[in-house]
Amino acid sequence: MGALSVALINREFKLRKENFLGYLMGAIGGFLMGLGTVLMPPCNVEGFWVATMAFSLSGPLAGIGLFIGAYIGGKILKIQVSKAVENIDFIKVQKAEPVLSKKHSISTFLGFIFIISLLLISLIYYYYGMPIHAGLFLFGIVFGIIFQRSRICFVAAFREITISKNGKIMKWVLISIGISAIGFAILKSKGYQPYHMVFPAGWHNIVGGLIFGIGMVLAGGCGVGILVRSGEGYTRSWMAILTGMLTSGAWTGIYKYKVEQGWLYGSPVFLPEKLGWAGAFLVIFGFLFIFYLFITWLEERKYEGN
Amino acid sequence: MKEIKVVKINDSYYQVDMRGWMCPYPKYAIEKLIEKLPSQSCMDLLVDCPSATKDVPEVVKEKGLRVEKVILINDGEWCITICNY
Repeated sequence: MGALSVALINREFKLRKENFLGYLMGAIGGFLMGLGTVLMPPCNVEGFWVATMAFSLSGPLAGIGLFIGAYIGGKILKIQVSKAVENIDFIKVQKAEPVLSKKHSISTFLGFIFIISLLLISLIYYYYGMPIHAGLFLFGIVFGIIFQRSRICFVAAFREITISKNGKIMKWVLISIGISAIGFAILKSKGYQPYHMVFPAGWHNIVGGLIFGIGMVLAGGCGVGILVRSGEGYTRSWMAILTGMLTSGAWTGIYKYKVEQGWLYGSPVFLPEKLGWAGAFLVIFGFLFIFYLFITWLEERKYEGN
Repeated sequence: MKEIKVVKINDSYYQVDMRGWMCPYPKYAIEKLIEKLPSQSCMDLLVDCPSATKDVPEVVKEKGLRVEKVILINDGEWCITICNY
């Protein structure tokens, strides 16, 4: 909702319809994301980003899966668009009226009305004795606005490393993990919630990450990303949200145990406990460093290729 | 697969309509599009995803071509003008 209102204000909202294949891609993407989420678990933001900085072994493993998955997904998208471009022949195209710009728009006006009504809703929550609901609602709106404006995109971060050989975003993601890991280390070494954000570790991290990785690229956004995009009017994201929720919901019905329990999931590995703090630092920062070098190596290969 | 509509405005000016192609499709398409563009020409690339207004010019400049302008033409729709001279 927050994303929708700022998208309207900045005239970025448009109901973006898709054809059958587009919806199919959204549905498949959502399905894969739903499946990946329960396997990994949880989504890519927590499963990779937060888990790594929280010294959970599952984080780097999920990262490997996401990296490969995003590569496969990106290749699929690139092949699709390349086929469409192949068919273009500039010499043969007919002369026709070009699309011209429209000056008038009520989008910005609508956006302001929308955001004011959102604020009113949270006030209503507050007055009816639900201050926590009002707070969560407001937090959601602000979060939506920040995400929409900043265009943080974990999908692009993973995808562009291999497809465009541009690792700029991912490098910043890695640096942010490194900085936050120090904060987590300070808190956790003092005994503050040591198992917070530590998830089961095992082969399912890699497989889940891989499945989620393909899904997020096809659907056009990570967990939060497709929510933001749905606010910008992407119908493909609407489809992905629907199938994603259905899949992960159905999972609890099919799989007899709760998520993170039973035969499928390994036990949570909190690295400092197994290796001591020095060892844990070595593993996490070693992982970040190797990943960073790997990206740099890929980027350099791009210029050799030209 | 969806088609990309192209119209000719004059002999050295084309309009490529990629509205409806979400990101990152335009970014992946632009590399091949500028290869296909006849020499001494310009093209308008119409897109409807915000990220393309940043991504596409980046790729174009990397290829050594010129981005004339990026303008908002309608709600959620942009026009990126690219020239290869």
